[in-house]
Amino acid sequence: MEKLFPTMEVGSLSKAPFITRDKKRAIREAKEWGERLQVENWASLIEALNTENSLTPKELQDWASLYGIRFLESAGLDVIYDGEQRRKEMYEYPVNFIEGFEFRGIVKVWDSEFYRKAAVIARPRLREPYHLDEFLFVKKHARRAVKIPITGAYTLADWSFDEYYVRNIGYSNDPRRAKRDAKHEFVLELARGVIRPNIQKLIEAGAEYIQLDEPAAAAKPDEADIFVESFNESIKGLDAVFVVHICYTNYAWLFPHLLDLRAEIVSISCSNADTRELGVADTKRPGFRVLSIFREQGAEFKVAPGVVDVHTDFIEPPELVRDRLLYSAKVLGDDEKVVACNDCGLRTRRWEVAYEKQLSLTRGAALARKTM
Amino acid sequence: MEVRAYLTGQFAKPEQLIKAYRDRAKGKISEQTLDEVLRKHVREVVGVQYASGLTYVSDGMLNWHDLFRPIVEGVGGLEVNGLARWFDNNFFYKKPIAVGELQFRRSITEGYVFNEYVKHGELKVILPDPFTIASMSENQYYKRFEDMLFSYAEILAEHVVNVEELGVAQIQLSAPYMAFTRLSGDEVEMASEAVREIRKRTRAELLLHTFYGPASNVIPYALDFPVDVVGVDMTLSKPREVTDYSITKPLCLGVLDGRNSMLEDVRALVKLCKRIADDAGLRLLHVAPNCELELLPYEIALRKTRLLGELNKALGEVE
Repeated sequence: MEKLFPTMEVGSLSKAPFITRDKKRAIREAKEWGERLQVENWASLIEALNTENSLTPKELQDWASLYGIRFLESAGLDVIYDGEQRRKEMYEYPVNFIEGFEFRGIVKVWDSEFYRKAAVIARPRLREPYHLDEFLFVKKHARRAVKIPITGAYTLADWSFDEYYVRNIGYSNDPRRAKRDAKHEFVLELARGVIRPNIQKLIEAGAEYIQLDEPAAAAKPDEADIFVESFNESIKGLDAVFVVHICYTNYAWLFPHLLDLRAEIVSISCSNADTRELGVADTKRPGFRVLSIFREQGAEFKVAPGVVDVHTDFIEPPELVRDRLLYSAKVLGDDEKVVACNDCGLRTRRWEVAYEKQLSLTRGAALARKTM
Repeated sequence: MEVRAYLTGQFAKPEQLIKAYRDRAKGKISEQTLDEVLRKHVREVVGVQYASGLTYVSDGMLNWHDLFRPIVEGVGGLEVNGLARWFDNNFFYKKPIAVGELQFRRSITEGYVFNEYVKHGELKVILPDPFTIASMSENQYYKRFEDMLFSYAEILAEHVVNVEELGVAQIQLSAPYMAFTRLSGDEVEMASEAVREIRKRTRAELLLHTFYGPASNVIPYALDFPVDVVGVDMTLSKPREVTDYSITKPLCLGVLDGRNSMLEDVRALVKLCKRIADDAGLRLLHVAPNCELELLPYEIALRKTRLLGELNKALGEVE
């Protein structure tokens, strides 16, 4: 990523539109997107969809992954994945590969959205590497640089119950300290015993860009140091470009600890709090003012501010993306520190909308390059 | 020792009810079928509280999507926006936005309180404390935060009047904001005056329950609030953060952890409660989960409720 304002995917797309029980629709969507994205051999997918039970679930996932890869490449992104076509969520799947956890039941996240939450009951250990097969598939088919996302240690711990570390530490006269110490030990053991060996396997398989997804990183203001230490422990001694994605939070809570983070790029959300007006004045770009904290604190890593809002069907004009990037460069005081990406994954958007948004991302970055 | 035990927030949602809500959203089931599933679980949640011997009984608030939503739905001048994090939890609420003068339109007793399953005089109803809901709202209308705060207080006071007619024994004002954040002197004064607006309208026992933060953020001033009982989060507090103060009114000790699935040792809790009661000179003790049990799976929430019953019984036997 040596050019100015390189573009990078971040997070998942919605499932490929031909993943549907409606056979007619599946065939129509596979054809339309196959032609549009120039997916190799798309006609054989149509043929298979036309024939009852001729595709195994694994084969269908392979096709979805291939379409996801071509989707992002066709939109012109420099660093891609497959839109996480094989993944349904980011917690339960990795936990299934870890010894020391037991699922306790479903818990609410909001309204009628729930997830199956596990408790740690023993020291966590990687049972077998995960995401390896999907990565190898993407690597084999991708024509651009590949970045694999993986849920980070802090988020896995924060989204789990603790029935082991608290019990072991348990000084009841100071429960706050006991809980913090327990969390610290839990997160670090996950980083060392699960995340690091898993990343090691991915690197051995050829991964060069690795993104740790940490949506919980800034949930607890007094645990920013634990998050940063766990990230650094997760990648200790490993050779790759490491990115961390943290979205929709109060980034100020992460400082000053974030300065110790050994990531090359920190990906954050900005556009959801921004206006749709063009311009690089402070009043036009309220969503990006948060970048001033990064500069004031002297952050050395690159920042990937989200220049595309993933929670709306509004298609950002390339000129708006351009101005958001130029403003980011101005606030950070260094053009080379800015990477262009979305606020988060586009999985809540239809492919049609997501594709237009990704086109705007790459076109806006090109405009910004031209302006510079 | 005289003890009172009760729940302090929304109960966990059972899987069958979650599925019913989703099916209703997709039009797969009728409103009546959803209501039947809801009521079946309300009876179950009420039943486990009775079986556990709790002093006051809540309906579990199983159709409250978050602590604010039923209030927001019954008020003119409020809208809800996107999701916002519920303190430091992996749980999100819909943020209320004041876009006009707040006007009381509909009581929570219309569809959000199931008093028919609870004996008259034993019902417990939970509402947000005015300062908490105001602080966690967005103000696009009022000139000053204070104006929005007292408008909320008026709205909540109307609800209190309505629930009192149902034979309510205890009204809880949930005040997590007060424990999570240390309030300034001016804020404390405003928060207390807002609670006073509610106090004026009810003779039921009024509990100001604080959680998600240490008692030391609360105790120094909350004992002066116009309430009957002050609740503190003992899962995040050292005993000394309570006993170092002169305790002038009954305390509710939130000793069961509503945010962790690990089941507490009742003997250890008895010891902790007794120590605090002895050191603070309390003859009447209230015990409860620190917060809502909604952040737990349903089965574990049921087990924690039974555990609270065991704690209640064990403390009752202490001289």
